[in-house]
Amino acid sequence: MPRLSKIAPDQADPKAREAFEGFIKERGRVPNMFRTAAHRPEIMSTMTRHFQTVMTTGEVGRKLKEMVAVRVSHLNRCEY
Amino acid sequence: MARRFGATEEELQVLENGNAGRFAPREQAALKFAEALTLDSNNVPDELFASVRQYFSEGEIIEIAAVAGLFNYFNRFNNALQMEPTR
Repeated sequence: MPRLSKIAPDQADPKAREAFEGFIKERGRVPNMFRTAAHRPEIMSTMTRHFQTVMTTGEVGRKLKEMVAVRVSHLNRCEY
Repeated sequence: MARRFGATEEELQVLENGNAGRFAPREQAALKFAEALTLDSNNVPDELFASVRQYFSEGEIIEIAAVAGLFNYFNRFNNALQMEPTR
């Protein structure tokens, strides 16, 4: 049972809305983590931008970055 | 997401089992660095870091450390708040 509530995309603060729309465009939905973080739109929006920047810019291939993310998440026993 | 970017089921299984030996040396170096950063960040062995330097530029190492650091942040945030995976 999650400890905090999630913000519905149509209830999101304007500061979080752009990030929500980006997720909906890319994945068709907003991950629960970002819907929850949206209780603080400033944090949620920079969290999202940092995530996008780390995963999509630079020269290391996306596949290797995703594999690093999977390995770290497994070590942290996080199935998210 | 890893599947979407080309990881096979076998590769994902190997990642879960922690057997980085299945991967190419360059990938192994990145994965072992991410493991050390996650498990004991003050004690990333010099030999391990030397192997990372052999395959990656300084800028690329920043990218790998950023991915590993970011997922440590996200994992801890999600674990403590008992976040449900998005289905």
